[in-house]
Amino acid sequence: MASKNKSIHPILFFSAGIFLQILPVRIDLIFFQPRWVLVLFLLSYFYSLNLYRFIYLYAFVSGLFLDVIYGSPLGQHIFGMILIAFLLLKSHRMIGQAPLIQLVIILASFMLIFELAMLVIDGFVGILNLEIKDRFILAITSCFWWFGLYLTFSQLNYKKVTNASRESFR
Amino acid sequence: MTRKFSTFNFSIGSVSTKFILLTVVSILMIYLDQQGEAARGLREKASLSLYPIYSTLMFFVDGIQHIDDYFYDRTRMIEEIETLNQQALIDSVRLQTLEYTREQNSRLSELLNLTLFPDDDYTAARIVDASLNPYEHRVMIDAGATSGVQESAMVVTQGGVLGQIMRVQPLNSLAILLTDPDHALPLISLRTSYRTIAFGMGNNVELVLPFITPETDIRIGDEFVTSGLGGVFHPGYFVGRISFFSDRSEGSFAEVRLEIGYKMNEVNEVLIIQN
Repeated sequence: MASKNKSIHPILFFSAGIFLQILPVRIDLIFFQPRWVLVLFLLSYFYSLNLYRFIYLYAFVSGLFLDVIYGSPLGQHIFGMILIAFLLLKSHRMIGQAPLIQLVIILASFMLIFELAMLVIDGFVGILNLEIKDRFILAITSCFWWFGLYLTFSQLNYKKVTNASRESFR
Repeated sequence: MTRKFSTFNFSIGSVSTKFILLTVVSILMIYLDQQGEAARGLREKASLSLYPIYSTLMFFVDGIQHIDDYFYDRTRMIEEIETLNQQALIDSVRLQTLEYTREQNSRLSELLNLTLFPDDDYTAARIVDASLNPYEHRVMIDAGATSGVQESAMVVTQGGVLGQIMRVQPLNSLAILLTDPDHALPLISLRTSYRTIAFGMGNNVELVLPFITPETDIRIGDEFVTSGLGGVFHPGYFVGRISFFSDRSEGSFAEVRLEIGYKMNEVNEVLIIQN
């Protein structure tokens, strides 16, 4: 069993996210593949104390890789990830105190905001990759995966990062 | 000293200032990427740094595939070998006449003073990722600039033309498929030599031929190949067969659909034909 005192390094979350994102899946299951990079980024917020130092760097680099993986305009996913990082930092008190169900709702809304930002940029650059319905499904799928992984990590007894530890870490 | 970051604070290094700066950077990157080559270097470097992850992943995927192959049902394998042997026999008979036709064609072309297309240069590659939602049909192929792949090179598979390369990275490339709604392809009918254009519909099976008038001589089952017009696709590569023809559609044109010659879900290996 993992030690209670161990926090997971953000690089592990980042690598796992990229690895899972480019993992080939069956074409008929493509809509059930979440945005792994985003899911693990949101998970790392709770299980990686070091993330606070590099949150924008993590968001920028993972956004850049997402742009390369999806072949989307360079900067599109970077903006989305930075936006999520900003929202996390701005609402950290609310997130830190929210019960699990509220937390899931808050993070689902973040994922929807991410998809909405992607949709707006798609519109600006004149391409239509996914329509609102598909993006909604993607956000919900991502949210389910996040919830499942969050519960798994709780069961594995990893140390959860609290607001107090974040403040003291800074 | 602890800094508060729950309120909007625009001092240097604050959460909000960093967010605004990075937003400006990302918007600038989108703009530069849309304008042309400016952001290409960064994309190539990011793609190169992803390559070790791609390679590791494909190593494991290949390993699983090998294990799967090892335990493959023997009877099915024998049936498959028989089918392939039959296909090889048919192909070898066809090839016997091909050389003669080729020679005859080159003599006729010389007589008519036509320019012949040079022999095609192939690069074999494999699909490593696919995006097949209704609005975007694209695949990532594991051959890039280092393998000599060029932009707009044609991609074919066993059942016919798959698409064309739209973005080349050092070690992989992105191809747009015929079925992508943004893709158009000039075709010619093998039976009547009628030339037209096919567009993707966003499904994995069919293309639409929107500019065919109801009186055109088109039948279900007619085979279409690339016409070579436009200079992007080489002429003579199989595209598909007419699967639906209705002259009762509203408007001046008939409703015609062409079924492509392969199942997208089963395509793994491709050939890239260099320009």
